[in-house]
Amino acid sequence: MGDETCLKKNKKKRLNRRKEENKGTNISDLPNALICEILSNLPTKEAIRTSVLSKHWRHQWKNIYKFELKEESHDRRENFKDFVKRLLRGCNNSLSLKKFCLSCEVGEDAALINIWLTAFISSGIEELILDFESVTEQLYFPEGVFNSPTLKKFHLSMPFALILPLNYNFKNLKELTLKHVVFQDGPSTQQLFSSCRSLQDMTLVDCNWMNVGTVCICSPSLQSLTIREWNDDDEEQEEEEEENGRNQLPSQCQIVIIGSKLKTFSYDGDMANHYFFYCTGSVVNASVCIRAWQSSLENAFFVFKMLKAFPSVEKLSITDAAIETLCHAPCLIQHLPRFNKLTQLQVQTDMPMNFPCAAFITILRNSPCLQTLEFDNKGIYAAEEGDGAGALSIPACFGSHLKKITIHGFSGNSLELNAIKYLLRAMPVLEEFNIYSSAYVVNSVGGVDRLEDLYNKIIAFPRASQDCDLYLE
Amino acid sequence: MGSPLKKIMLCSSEKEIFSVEEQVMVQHSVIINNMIEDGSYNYEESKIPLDCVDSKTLKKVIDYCTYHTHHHNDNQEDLEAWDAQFLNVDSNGLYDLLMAANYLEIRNLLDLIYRTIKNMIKGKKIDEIRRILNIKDHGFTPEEEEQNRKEYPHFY
Repeated sequence: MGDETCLKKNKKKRLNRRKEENKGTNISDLPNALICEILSNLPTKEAIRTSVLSKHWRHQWKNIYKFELKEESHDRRENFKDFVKRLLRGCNNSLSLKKFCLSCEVGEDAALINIWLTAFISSGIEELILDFESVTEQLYFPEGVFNSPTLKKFHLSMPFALILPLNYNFKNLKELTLKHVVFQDGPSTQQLFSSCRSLQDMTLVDCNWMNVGTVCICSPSLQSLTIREWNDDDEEQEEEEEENGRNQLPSQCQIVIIGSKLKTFSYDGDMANHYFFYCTGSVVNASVCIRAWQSSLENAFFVFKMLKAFPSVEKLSITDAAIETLCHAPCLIQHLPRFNKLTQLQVQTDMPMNFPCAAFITILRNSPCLQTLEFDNKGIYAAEEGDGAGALSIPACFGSHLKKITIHGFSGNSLELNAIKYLLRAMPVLEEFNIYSSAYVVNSVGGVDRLEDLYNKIIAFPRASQDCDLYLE
Repeated sequence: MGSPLKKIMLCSSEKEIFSVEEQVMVQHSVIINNMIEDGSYNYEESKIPLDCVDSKTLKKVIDYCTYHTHHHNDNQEDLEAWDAQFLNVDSNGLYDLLMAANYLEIRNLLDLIYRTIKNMIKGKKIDEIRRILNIKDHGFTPEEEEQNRKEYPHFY
């Protein structure tokens, strides 16, 4: 009984208090930790503005653990610099950020950026995302910037020489992205890669490997590796090179990849460097996107080596240029590996692809469990009816596993129809055949009628699988 | 259907008892999951006392967890629409929910609330934000307020 009265009293008190404060919890009742969380979830500029909301909020923003500083447009550069300056003055070195993003042009301000980095990056940092443009002089990352054992994610985009401080601590780093950086030399690059002992995810985009020579990527827990190396089509650079009087090809780097835990590998580029793979049989998801169209035995060998490195792949993406390149080396085609686990194959076509070519048919023949086949972008054709496609022996997966085909970029010419005719005739277990026509067919005058006409033509083709759904759009 | 679902008892600050499917709370609340896992909850007798969560808020929290347990396969759009409707409360109600979600460690509800607050105040003028967050008394003297406006005109 006594308890009950006490309870009632409490309740009454609470209700009274609530009435005074217009019922419910007020924002000033929230514990600082929650306000910190609210502010850290805001864009940094918005978070700082809250300092004038109320006296209680005056200094709350200084506790936030995430700063994202992005220079939005070059015209307002002075504003941005002023904003960061005020920010630094305001927080008075009391920051303990877990996540720091800085994205800006460097220009003449390398020294200033170095100061910012030292000021914002503290020992507890977990994620560091730095995007620099227009770098014209060396950025030296101050000692201590990369010295945090808590650092989990590091992203650096910087079209300039990468010079790391003497002491850096990447031993707990899980995710590393380097874009446009110029590696200084072999030993320092090797030291960088070797120090990332916990790395799971590595992305290298358009880096300059010219001075490296040979390097080995061998983080024992690496699960995903993405490499992009597009030839710089920058006119500026070409001009510069001509001026310097050196027109020879950039020297190639040998990149050795050892990845016993590697699951995903993606390459997209022009074969600018040499790659060597060891213990990469664990890869289940691979992408071999070669963009160059010059066919030589050397290039064919490049593609061949990559395919050979991933015999356990389940999902493979390949470009038509890679297949075309292989076609020029019949001696290699017959040694392509068997992809016993491959279930999904995607071909990215830049031009309509003559699909019954020797290299592609061999890949299909070597993939007995293939279930889905997709031709992205520009579609496929078969050069000749009957003796072209028909003369090649039918891959085993066609008869037993292939359930779904998707073709993009269909324009409806007779060679494309040949290819479709061949596929329909060859696949008894096909369940779905999706054809997406390219935009100009549909948008042209009478496009819809033409599409219907094509559909009627295709549906009349002899089909090995009666249950197959045919879809044309 | 048919098999009796295990229930647990939650007790609000008003000492009102709520009986909830165990799975619903275990899936969402880290705290309750821990209590069940380490065996400190006795199904015969225990009521989990939530002294800082009132009945109205607790009912909403349970609604949230129940819906998300039974509809997690729904498409994203439908779930988002439901969430938006669910959080269509006044700011004080929102803070109550935030405190409760924080206390019970319900990660997805916390994220939802932070996202909602962010969208509520993003790009708004200071006076508007004060109104939205229900800051009645900002505590600045007129002089201080004047000073702020002078020093940080771009904030307002």
